[in-house]
Amino acid sequence: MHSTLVRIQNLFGFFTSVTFAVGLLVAASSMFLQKEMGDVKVNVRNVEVVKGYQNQYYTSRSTEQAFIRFDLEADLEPLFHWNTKQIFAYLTASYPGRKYEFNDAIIWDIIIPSKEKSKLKLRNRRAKYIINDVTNRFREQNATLTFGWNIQPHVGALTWNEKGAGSFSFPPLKTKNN
Amino acid sequence: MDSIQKIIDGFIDFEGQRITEMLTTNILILTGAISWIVGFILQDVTYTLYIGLAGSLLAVLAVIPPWPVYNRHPLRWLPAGAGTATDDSVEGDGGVKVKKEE
Amino acid sequence: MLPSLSSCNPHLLLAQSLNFGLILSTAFMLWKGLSLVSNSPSPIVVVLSGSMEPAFWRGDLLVLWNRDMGNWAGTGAVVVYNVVGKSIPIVHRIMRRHATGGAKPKISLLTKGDNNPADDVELYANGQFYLDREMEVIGSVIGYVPYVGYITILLSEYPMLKTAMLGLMGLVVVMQRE
Repeated sequence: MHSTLVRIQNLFGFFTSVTFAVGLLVAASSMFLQKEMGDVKVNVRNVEVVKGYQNQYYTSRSTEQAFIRFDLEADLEPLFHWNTKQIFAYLTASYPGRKYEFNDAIIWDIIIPSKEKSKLKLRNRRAKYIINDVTNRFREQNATLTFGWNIQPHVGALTWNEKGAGSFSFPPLKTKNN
Repeated sequence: MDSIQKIIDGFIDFEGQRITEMLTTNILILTGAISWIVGFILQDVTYTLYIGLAGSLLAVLAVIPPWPVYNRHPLRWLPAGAGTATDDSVEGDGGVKVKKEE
Repeated sequence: MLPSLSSCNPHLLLAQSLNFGLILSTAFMLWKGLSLVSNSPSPIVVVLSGSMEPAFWRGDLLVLWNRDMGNWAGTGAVVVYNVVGKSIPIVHRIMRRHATGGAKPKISLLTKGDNNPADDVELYANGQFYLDREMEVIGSVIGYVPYVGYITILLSEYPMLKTAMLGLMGLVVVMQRE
């Protein structure tokens, strides 16, 4: 500690160690502060499958697109504590298929930045994403809906969790006849 | 050039070194502990961040500059020439004698 | 004035360079060890773009895991991928996931950045509409540390800063009376 340079090095080194330790403790506190969220209520109002163009930037092949309308009620407030930076909540539709056995597609998502905005109440909301299948056909499959949430901390581990949120069926392709 | 060298060196005496070592460790540990505790109790991580930065700045200001208080106990060198070994029982290699211009 | 240069003890010099080499090789071992455990070629990445704001900002550090063991492998998870032929890795969220059955499934992913209005098909190669999980994804994000990666962005975007830092370090070494 005899010269300024040695003091700078010493201080900076210890500062790094202390910062690392505090960061670790903040991240660890997430484990103890994690609470369960309440129930999620989802009600699918309407599903429509039509022919359209999507993700087909360079081809002219049309694809079956699904338009979904739903209600959603969820309370994510218990999940917020000092190490919660934001929560990314999303609705995933899961359905089987022939070419791919498991198919999941997010139809709606939202970024919840704080405790104040964490109570979700949607009525007759149109799905944010118009989805199409990788094979371009839905084949009238049954789908289950899952409500998922990704908790993003200020420092530490990210967590993903989900709850079942009901189900629906893809209707037959809407043509001019029906 | 010599005064710049003196500023860059920032030498302090042994007592000062002991104090700065103690201050570095204690200020930073205390800052870390307080910043975590306050943030946890108030459930707001911005407190942790700002208290941490403030405490670290305090440590920098207290320890890095060679404050005169760290030079209160300067080493007292014996005057040159005095204190040559009068005890004949000490055997050494004699060292290297440098011939000085008188 | 430059006393340290005059004390060129070859023994000391060798000891110092061995010490330096030891530090470098330990760092390298830790990096490669982490790579092995996480099964990812680059288990720690720095966020380079703002396409995932407000979750990830430029300069944040992400810890990756490339084994699909937990909840971080489905829709809603955040992955880092390299499009075959393009150089920079991209950190985005999985919007669609299609998986075949069996022991070694083929998994196709469609990704989108939180801060982007459209999905990533424009970022993929020509004619490619989905990512291959095996070939192109280098890991899922499981951990997060804010800000600490910003110095690497500064160093790579302002090469003058790199030379200035090296110059400063050299000056400090020379001016030391050690």
